[in-house]
Amino acid sequence: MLARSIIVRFLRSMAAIFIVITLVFFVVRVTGDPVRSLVPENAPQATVDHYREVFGLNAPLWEQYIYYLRGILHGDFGASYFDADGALNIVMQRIPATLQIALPAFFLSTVLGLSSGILAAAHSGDRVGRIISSTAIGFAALPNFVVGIVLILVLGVQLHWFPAAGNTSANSMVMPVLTMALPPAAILARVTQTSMAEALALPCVAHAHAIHVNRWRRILAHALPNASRSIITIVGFDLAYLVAGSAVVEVLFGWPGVGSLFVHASEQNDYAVVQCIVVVVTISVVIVHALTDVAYRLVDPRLRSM
Amino acid sequence: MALTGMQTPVAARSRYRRRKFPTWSLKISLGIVAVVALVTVFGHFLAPQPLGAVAMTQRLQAPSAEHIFGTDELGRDILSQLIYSIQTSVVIAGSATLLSGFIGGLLGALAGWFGGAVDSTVSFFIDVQSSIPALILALGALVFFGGTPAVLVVILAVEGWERIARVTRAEVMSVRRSGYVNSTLNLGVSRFTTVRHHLLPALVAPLAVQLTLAFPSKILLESALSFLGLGIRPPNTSLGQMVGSGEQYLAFAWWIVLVPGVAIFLISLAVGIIGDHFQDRMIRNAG
Amino acid sequence: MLANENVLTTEGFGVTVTLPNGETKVLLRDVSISLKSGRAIAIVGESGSGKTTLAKAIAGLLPTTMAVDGALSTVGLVGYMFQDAGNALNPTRRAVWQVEEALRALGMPRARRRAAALEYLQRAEVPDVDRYSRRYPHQLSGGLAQRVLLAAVLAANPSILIADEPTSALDVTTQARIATLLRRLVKEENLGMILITHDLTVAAQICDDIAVMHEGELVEQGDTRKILESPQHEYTRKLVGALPHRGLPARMEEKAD
Repeated sequence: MLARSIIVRFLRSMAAIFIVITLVFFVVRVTGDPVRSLVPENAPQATVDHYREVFGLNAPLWEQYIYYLRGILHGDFGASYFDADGALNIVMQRIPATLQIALPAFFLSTVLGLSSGILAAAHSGDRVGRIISSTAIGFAALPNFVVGIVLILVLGVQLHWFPAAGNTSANSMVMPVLTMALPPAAILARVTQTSMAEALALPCVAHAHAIHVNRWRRILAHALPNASRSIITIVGFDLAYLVAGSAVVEVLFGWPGVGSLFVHASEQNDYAVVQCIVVVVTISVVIVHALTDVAYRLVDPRLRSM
Repeated sequence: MALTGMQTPVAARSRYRRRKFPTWSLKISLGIVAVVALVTVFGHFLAPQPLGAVAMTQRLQAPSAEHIFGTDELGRDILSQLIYSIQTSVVIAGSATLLSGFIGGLLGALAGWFGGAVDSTVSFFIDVQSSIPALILALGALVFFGGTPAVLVVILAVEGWERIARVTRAEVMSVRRSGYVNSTLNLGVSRFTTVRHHLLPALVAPLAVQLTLAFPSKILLESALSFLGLGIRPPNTSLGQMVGSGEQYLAFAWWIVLVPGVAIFLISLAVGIIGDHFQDRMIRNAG
Repeated sequence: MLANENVLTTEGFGVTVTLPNGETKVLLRDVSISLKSGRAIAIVGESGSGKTTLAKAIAGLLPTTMAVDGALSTVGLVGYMFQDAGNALNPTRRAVWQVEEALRALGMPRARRRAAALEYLQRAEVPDVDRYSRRYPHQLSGGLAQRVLLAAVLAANPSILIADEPTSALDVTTQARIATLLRRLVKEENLGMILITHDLTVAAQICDDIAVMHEGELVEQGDTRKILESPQHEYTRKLVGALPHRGLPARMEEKAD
């Protein structure tokens, strides 16, 4: 029942989103008085009370919750405390910038990781394989901000090839994209290599050898589909990681995207924006996970009856 | 019905499986881990300068005989700061790993042993948890709860418990349904004894491997958070914190950033390699 | 391929494996057999006797840790049917694809492949070809999977067909049917078949000659009838002696139904 499993999956995703939305609500309400951080310290109690009314904070908790949920369904996350605009608008404005580096980074890391992993598995005995393997292990252990810093040092400062900050030109995209792409590429390469090595040892690949299928066809058309499960998992993580992981890179390179917005909003305790970003990012992650599940079923027919 | 299930890799059945890494990498990794452990425990005695000893007359000095790794923007000796940072980062990441292992292990074991409703509930939460991106959740929680080390440990523990839970659940399920456990229970042996003698020993190896593999990502996550200024804040110091505060001096005092950066890299690499070896050995013993 | 032509000869053939600790172990020693097209030879013996090693060596499927010595000459391609058909087929692809892959490897253009693949499936006696060709391996019974595997191996156009325990995992009725099928194919296509089995009964049903292996050595070989009626070697006698005494099993083609 392919249809039934999709419905179950959908329900689970909805539940996950709902839980996060609720969690965010309660965390915000519990950890403090947003009004306090908005008005000056020695403001009269009357002012504080007034703002409480305005923000609807005097109403019973469950009423606030309903109001909050309804707001979300209409795309209203509240107004940013520091920018007169609605939180959702602010976030939406910054999304294109993030996608500008995140999407190329995703494609780069997927292509790079997959091909290195397959190559490493195909050469598992010899030097090529070992070099790829070691390089991948190395890069996978590097935190992305260190990669970024090294790139800035080498390519930006010493060689002056690319600008180190801002999104002024196509050139300025290079380093952020590389920084976002390299560590995930390394992890993907390792997982691909391991899965492919296992797949290449499968009986069906030996059988393909016996019916004289040539080597690369065996690797790509016979072994790879069997290795897909783990690979799809990691690619799914990478896609989900796009927005979440861009925070560090954007801050490092001064890139005006959602990630750096999140960090700055966090520092300023701009709850509405932080809340909004958490919910938006979680929704996209949940969507990606659901897509990953569908991809599993497409690749492995044995899962289709589950 | 030819229910093929998962094909068994021929290589795993063969005893002639070749090793993936040369042993020198394992030895070096163990060496690094030993050094780190030493620093973590005895750091106070090894550091030339006390924590946060500011000396404004000696700011931004390049590495020299007096300061092996140079000084930072406040004149602090980088080697000393490095030692204290390693202590902080390792203790936080280590506690988080243990906490994560405890939560994940316990929940996974419960789900695997009892099955049914317990399993459905726990599995549901595992799915939900894996849908929430770690960094976003961590940042959000830090904003709301503040950046004390305790909060940091909890946040780091929450990231990744679902992986440990999944593995533990699978292991417990296979033990629970295995022939010998079933017959033991049927013979009337108390469940407590069964758990103690059959289940727990079987879990030690997989759990140890999972914990070792989880540690590097905790170090990396803590570094990222501190780098952004949201994790460990001054006067405390951590590896990520050092990188974060030194970043603006990158162009002319690169050692401030590179030294902790390389430390993060080496620690996560070393533990990762050891974890891989454990896993390889475990697979080989089971196959 | 015409009948009764020499398709395989081995002379003093042996296989040695190099263990990870550096030691070498002899798996196969001084094997000399020959096979003609249109005839089937059974290689019988217990597990570890070296029969699978011999078969894989002939097919060129030995791992790199194993070294070969002695003379081996074959005419035409060698087809190897793996023992576990369910595992040998690729679980992510349909049955017809499995056969098409063999044709693709031969260079057949795409347009003709599907029809040719269906033909081979029919020749392997897959019933209701249009329906079953679209199934995935996990949806096929043991016997059906075996037939799909056979179709794929046949499609590779071998002149020598090696079948590794093709009937061991099947129930008796299916066993008989597969045995008949194999024998008929050997005669009709003039294949040289090597049947690996531990079951002398099956060997007698299908094969013209029998070669007995024990601990890496060929202890006796010859015409099936002769071996079963008057085994010379002690080990052969034990094997034959273990057969249920209901007279010699009749060759499949001799059973007039």
